[in-house]
Amino acid sequence: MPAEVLQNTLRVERARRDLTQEQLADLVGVTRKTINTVENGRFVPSTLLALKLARALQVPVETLFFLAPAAGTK
Amino acid sequence: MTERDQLDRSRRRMLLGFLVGFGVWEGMSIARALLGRASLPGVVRHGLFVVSLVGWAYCCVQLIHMIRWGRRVRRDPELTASLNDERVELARLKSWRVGFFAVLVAQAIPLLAPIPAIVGGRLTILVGLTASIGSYLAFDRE
Repeated sequence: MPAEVLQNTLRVERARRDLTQEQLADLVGVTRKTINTVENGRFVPSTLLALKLARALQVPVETLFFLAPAAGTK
Repeated sequence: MTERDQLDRSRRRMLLGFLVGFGVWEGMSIARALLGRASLPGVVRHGLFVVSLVGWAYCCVQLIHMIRWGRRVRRDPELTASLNDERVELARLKSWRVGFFAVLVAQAIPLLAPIPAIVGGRLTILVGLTASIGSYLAFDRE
């Protein structure tokens, strides 16, 4: 089974809606640091937080989070 | 910067301050207990005591800040929830795990080196607390 990693378009979607990390954090009830670590892929959010983020950005959760092949795998 | 981020930042500062204060306090106390058995000059012994006292005082100040911080946060359940979001909870869990294994390792030190039981106990507390708070600060980084 090929290795896959979770990636996200959070930064893009946030920018599209002209929101700062602080504003988005406010909308979903987390700290700005959490938003930043999710954007950088350092923290993988729970399903609950992923759904909250998708709702706040008004996009389907699959648009926000998707699986991509890990670097170095075909 | 929002109030939430300010509180998040101040929590980090308080923990770091507490870590430094506690490390100095207990570190110097352990050094005094270990070196005290040898014939140390009075100036060195008193110097270690004074540094240890400063560490203790700094630690107490940070504890007072933490209590006040906790009271302020508890007044607002929404703020409490967001300051303890899942990333923070995860960092906390991981740091407890680091602290647990650090304590296990610290327990082996008296087996390898003949140190008084009281020093062994203090060393265990120092290692456990330093490892868990230190690793929390590392996991909590952006």
